Amino acid sequence: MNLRIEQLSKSFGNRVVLDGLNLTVERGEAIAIVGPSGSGKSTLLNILGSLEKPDSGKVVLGEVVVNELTKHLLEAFRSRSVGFVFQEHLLLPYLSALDNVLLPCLGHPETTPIESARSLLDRVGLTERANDFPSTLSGGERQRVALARALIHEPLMILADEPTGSLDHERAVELVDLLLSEAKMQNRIVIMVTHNLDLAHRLDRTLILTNGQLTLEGG
Amino acid sequence: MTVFGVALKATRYHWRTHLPAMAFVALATAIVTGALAVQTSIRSDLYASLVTPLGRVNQAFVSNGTFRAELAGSKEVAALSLNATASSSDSRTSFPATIWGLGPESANLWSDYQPLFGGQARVAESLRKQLNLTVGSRLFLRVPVPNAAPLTSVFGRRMASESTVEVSVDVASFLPSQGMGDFSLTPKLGGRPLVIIDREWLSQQLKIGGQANVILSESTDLAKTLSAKLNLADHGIRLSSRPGEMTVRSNHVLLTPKQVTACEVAAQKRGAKTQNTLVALAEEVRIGGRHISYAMVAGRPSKEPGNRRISLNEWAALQLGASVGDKVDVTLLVPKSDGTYRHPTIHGSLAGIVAMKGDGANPNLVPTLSGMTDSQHMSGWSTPFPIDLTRITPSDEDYWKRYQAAPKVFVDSEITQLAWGAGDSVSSVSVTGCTETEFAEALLQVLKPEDSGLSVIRARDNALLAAMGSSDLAGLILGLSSFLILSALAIAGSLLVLNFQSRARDLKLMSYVGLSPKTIFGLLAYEALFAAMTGAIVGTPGGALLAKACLVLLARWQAIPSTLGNVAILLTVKDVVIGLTTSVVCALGAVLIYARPLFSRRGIRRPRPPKPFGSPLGTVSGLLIKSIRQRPLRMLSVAMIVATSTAVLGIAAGSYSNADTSGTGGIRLQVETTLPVAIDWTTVQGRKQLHFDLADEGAFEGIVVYSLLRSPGTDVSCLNPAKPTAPRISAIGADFIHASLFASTDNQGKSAWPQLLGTPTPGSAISAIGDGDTLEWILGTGVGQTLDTQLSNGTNAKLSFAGATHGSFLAGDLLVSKGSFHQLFPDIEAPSLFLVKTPESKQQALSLALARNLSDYGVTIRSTTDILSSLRGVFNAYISIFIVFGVMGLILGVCGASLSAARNALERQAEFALMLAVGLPRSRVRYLMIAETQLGVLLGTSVGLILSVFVALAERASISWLGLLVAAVAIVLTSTISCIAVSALILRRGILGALRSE
Repeated sequence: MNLRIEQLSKSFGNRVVLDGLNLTVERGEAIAIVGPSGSGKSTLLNILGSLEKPDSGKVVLGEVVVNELTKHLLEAFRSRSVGFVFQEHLLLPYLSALDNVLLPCLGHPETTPIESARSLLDRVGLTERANDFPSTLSGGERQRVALARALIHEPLMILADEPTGSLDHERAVELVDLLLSEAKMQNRIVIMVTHNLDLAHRLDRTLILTNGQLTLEGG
Repeated sequence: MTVFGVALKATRYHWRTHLPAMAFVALATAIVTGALAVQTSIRSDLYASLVTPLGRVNQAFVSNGTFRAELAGSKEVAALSLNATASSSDSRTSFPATIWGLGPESANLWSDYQPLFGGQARVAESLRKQLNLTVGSRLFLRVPVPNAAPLTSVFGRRMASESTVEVSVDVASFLPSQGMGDFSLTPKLGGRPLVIIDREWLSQQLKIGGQANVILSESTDLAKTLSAKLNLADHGIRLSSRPGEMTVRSNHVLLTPKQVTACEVAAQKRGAKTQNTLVALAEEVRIGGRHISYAMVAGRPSKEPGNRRISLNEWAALQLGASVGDKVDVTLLVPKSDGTYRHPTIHGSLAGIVAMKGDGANPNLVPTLSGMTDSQHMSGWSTPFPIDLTRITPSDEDYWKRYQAAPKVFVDSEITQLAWGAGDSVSSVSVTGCTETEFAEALLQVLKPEDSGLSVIRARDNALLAAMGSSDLAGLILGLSSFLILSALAIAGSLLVLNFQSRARDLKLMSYVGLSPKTIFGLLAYEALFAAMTGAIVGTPGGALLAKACLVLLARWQAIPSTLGNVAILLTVKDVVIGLTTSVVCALGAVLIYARPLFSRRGIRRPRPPKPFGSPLGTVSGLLIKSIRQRPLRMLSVAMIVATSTAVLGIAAGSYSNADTSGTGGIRLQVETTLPVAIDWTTVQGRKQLHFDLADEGAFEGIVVYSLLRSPGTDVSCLNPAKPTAPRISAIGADFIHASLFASTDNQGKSAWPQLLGTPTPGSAISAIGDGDTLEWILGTGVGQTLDTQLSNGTNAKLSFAGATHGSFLAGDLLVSKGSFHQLFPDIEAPSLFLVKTPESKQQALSLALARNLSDYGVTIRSTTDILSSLRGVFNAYISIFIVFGVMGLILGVCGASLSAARNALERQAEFALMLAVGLPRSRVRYLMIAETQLGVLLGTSVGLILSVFVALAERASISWLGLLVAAVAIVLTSTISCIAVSALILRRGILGALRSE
């Protein structure tokens, strides 16, 4: 199941951010998107995650045209198919690490995958910290919890918006490797926005977003 | 992990930020629960004081006179209940008391009843305190004799020493309060103290052995049970037969009009005829130079008005040497109000001589007159009127021996009526044409218990009703504080939402990780619920404290009896549930309203982007107007709280009732007596008759007294916390009406007093006047409306309110004319309430003189300004509570204003940050932050002031301009200072963060 972006456009007033953008990402592929500030990286990520609607064009994941889904189906799509990792390790301070991982499953107590969450925490190296609260975790640990949270509902696609922005280089590399290994293991698509070219090069492809168009680095 | 669980964790985590919201919910809960607890606690205390003392008594069968004690069944208790005065060997003063003569069978109704021997008494605690009694003390009781001749008649014994019997008893034990010590058939607090003695012993002391005047029963259908068992004697009716005729007389001297009618109907049923008679006493009957003394005169109704035809029996005619056509002078003995007697002489002509048989020699025409008809000789008469025994001749004694009190003279009953006062009295009914058995049977069928003054009092029902309380205190407190409750809850809701808004990042995260808006809303709703519940639970005990404070204040301010200030606070599950539910539901409602901007139909609403700087006016004020137009509710909610609070304060301050004396009507003293005083003590002669101390005469100079007949019953004013079930009725005379002491207008604005002067038609509604506030708030009626009520004597009456007085010290009574009063209470003939106008310099001396000289009558003297001050105290207490709530409302208003400013600043901090970033001066930014809220405060204050002035003008209340000005300045200043402080805090801390993020 791949991701296709066809003629995707988005403007804010007179400013064109995305201009007939096309992209295809194969299942299991990880791509990095780089570009100057204000080039529309986050907007693209938001549209892919169905948080924003494009002015025109299509986002097709497998057979599903995401931007044509109804409000109800969009919510379901987002909760089942997309995992977010943010620049800031956004965790709810009053929930333990384990609970934070389980947050996307809230409202479905009958299918709460507690064992999967524990397994994920195990895989991100936080088995011992499962019951700890965010305030007692380091920045890297928090971001790993956020990564585990993005994976808990086994999404088809992980969208990471500067996930290492608040980490030092060593921790950043660790996290990206972890993200990639988890994604590859489950054959998931990873789209990561970053400013760090070193990190970007660890992914399968690096695309540059300028003037509303994506171009392959060195291409 | 469930939504519920996560919300619980969130609440625990954020408890500090929710604390202010919880505090406001706690405040609202405390007020709601406290108001309900006040009502419940008072009702519980009233129940203990009014219902518990009844034991198992449900109903009581009562009589104006007496009936056979054996009428009571095995499960009923025959009793004698009499109002009396009590004194001890140590005390020189008598105090009112209610005597209950009870037998050992009373243990069926009160489990703690202790049988008494004759001459022993159990005494209420209050009387113990008044008379400083101990067990074994000797107590002197002055008890009125039942079945006595009407006080205002020539045969009435008007001196307390003659109309009462003094019995002395030893105090065996004391009756506990809120137990048998508070027993009363008419539910009232602080009524006359109780003295319980053995009924049989008491009846012997009163020479009415085997008689009772009350039957107490557990039955709820006593009327049905007893009606079938009543005989004529129980109706107070006695049949006496002589060959060819029988006579119906009353044990209570006069037959009631309904008894007379029943006799006529019964006779008609048996084909018999009736003849009514009203006897009087002639001091002298004279024809020419011959006379006879102290002859009974029989009055018979005549169709001719002014009929002066007189008949004599053969004996009298012989003594006087009379022939038909002779001129006859009959000198009657007619009582005067001052205790002396008139001696009017009726001049007539001898119309006939009645043979010494039948009516001519019939002693049964004369009712039993204690001290006269029961005497063996005329010279042995013990009369209430002065008698010259030297005028009694041997012939008189011979007549007495042969014919006893048989009337010697026959006249029109208009003449004999002079001896009985106003009315249409009948002392006996002669029946001819049927046998005694036939007539008795027919009469019993016709007579209804109420015809003979027998009635059933639904004691428990009345007590239960009274225990509901005279006024809806819970409603009153809730009404007075409703704006406070709603403000507190609105602020709580606003604070909760403010907390949620400050966690916008968390909400955004939830949305990003795929939680539906419904789930996120559910999380917030649960969190708000937990916070509100916690506040409400914390506030509940606060409700008990508030209730206690309210009761203590109300008692201290004399709005309720001081004893209620010590009442244990009772919180029922119902009150707690109502308090919790109201607070939580309202707080959640507020959360829903305030949280609306957080959600859109598509989910979590994104933070509004900063508004483009600038405005149509191109000024900062223009931007302010634009901001207000976008969110008018925020400013209006502050304005509403401040306006309501200001108006409440303004109206309340102007409504304080000051100590003016217009409500006294110029009357300085209210004198009440336990026993009616049939001799007019306001005259020199009356005081002489009553043996007043001559040294006190100076105190009576220049006084004007209005004498009022007064029924037993309950105080209907706001001073009585129990709901009045049998209102106290007072009868005013023409002197009172014409004096125009108090203004009373009907619905057309005309004086209502003249409407009381008309003669009431039997069966129709009786015109009455009551205090306006009493009618509206306590009796739930008004001018032009009628009130169906049971009276203290168990009968039912319909009162039609012709008008209302306002602010009078007589607020505890319903006023009717004397004519109407006689219809309602035919057995109350003499006044027991006296309103005295006296120069201020003599007030104290007069009080002392009356206390000394009317001691036998159980006198209580109160200054009318004291009564008025008590009544105003209740009103002012409510106003004080109103003001307290108003001040609390203003504090809340200022808090609300500060919070609104804070919320405004926090919500728009990005906008303000932008303004600061682009170089707008900090002062301008601060102006924008607080101006919106302050406009609300100014608007609210202005509206509140205008409203309070408008209400004051409409109600013709005084306006405290200075107070209003001070309040307005205080509100505006306080809110400005608090808003500036809040904005400074936010400018120093919050804006910088926002600026960085921008």
